[in-house]
Amino acid sequence: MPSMLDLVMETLTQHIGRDPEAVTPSTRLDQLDVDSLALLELLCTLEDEHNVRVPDEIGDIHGGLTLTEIADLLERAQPEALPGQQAPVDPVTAGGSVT
Amino acid sequence: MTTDAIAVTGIGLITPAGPDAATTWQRMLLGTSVAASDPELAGLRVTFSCRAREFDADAALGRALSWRLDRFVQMAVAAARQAITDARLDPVAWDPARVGVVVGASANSEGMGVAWNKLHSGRPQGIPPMTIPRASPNMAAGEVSLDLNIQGPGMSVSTACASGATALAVARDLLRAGTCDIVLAGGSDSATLPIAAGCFDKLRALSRRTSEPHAASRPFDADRDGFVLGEGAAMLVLERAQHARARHTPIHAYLAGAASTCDAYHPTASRPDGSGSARAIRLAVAQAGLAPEDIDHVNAHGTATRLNDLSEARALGTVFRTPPPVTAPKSVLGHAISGAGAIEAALTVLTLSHQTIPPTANLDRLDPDIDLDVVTKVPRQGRLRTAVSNSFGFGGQNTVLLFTAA
Repeated sequence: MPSMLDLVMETLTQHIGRDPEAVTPSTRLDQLDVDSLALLELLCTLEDEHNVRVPDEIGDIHGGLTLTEIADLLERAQPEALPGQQAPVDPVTAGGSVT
Repeated sequence: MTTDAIAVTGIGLITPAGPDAATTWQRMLLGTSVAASDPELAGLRVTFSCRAREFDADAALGRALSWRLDRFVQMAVAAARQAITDARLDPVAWDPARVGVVVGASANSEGMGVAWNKLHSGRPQGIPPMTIPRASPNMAAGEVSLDLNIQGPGMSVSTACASGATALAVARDLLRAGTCDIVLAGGSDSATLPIAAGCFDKLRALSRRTSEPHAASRPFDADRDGFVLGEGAAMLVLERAQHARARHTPIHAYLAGAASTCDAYHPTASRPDGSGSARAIRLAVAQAGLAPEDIDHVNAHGTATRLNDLSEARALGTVFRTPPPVTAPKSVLGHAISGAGAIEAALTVLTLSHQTIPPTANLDRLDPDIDLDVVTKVPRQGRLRTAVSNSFGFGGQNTVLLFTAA
């Protein structure tokens, strides 16, 4: 089963056309030139095609976050941890920001 | 206001006959239709179309841009890039506030179709956020402006099947008013979508010759039974001739007349006597300071519907004592709706620059009620100084362009 990070990276490359070589776990959204519209498309695609729950407050995601931090935020928003996956990581203590 | 001639200095073309102007022109000279069976129309009454199969948006624009553009916008942006390259223009060097964009567009949107499907399948949460900026007809002009850093007037115009031609007429006015120094003008449409095919077929506008798609589009032929849906885009660079000469760029032809009229007669049918379109032809000829006998060629609207072809033939018979040689590009390319008028304008310019009229496909037996010299089977060369391009739309909206050779 793909991890949340895998889904984020796959959607960015296959759906939103970002260069696969530039899409790494430590890449920030703004380094990929992902603007607010593309971010909305990313979240909607995750929700519609991969059944990822995207609550309204997830709008706190911004371009300064890495893909790992975004995946962690999304994992924390799921009703329960997906089988076989690590417990959610606190994005703040992990070095990210949710504001 | 200036009366300086308007020069065509750049052409970009995406058509079912090729992904650029040179390929399209060579294919036009063969005089055979590119219509083919279309798997995406499976289940409909009409299962063939003229798709721009050689246009690969991801390759032309890059996936990082193409993902968020509807197909009609992708084609408009790609054609605009071709046109400015042809015109030797550099968006980094121009004054962006003095450049404009006018694009003929309609409501044929694959993006809106995706959203409808999500809604009707009970998944409104799956409606793509980009649906509105992808599908709105104005976004062809909007995305061309964004792509090429154009900051003057940007707009889409909609006069149905005349939209692409009307865009050139509006561009001419922007240049003559001194509002812009350069205008990219044209049209784009992805009219081969199943929803468009289903709707046009219910109007009985489409050919139902499903057993032989290549023979289906037959303007002016006695056995015609409707048009074939197509898709594509054309963008032309227009500028005042003085402006073009000052930057030493080659001029393909001049837009010497551009006239629009409305039939005010019927939602979809032209006036049977062709008087509305005849008036537009006369106005365009007069704007150019010419007389009907000065016109060497007519690029016809020529949809291959029974009503259009009769009405257009009568219009030509009214304006011209002896109508000049006619060709009908929709016989080869199908009907790209809002893109058609611009595509045919581009082909008319190429006809003048090559001094060659491309033939009409599938004209085996001229309708006995039509008295026209239609170029068929092989190209016809000759001295071509002037040419008219007709475009007529639902709503009775007619636009006629008149080009003169450079």
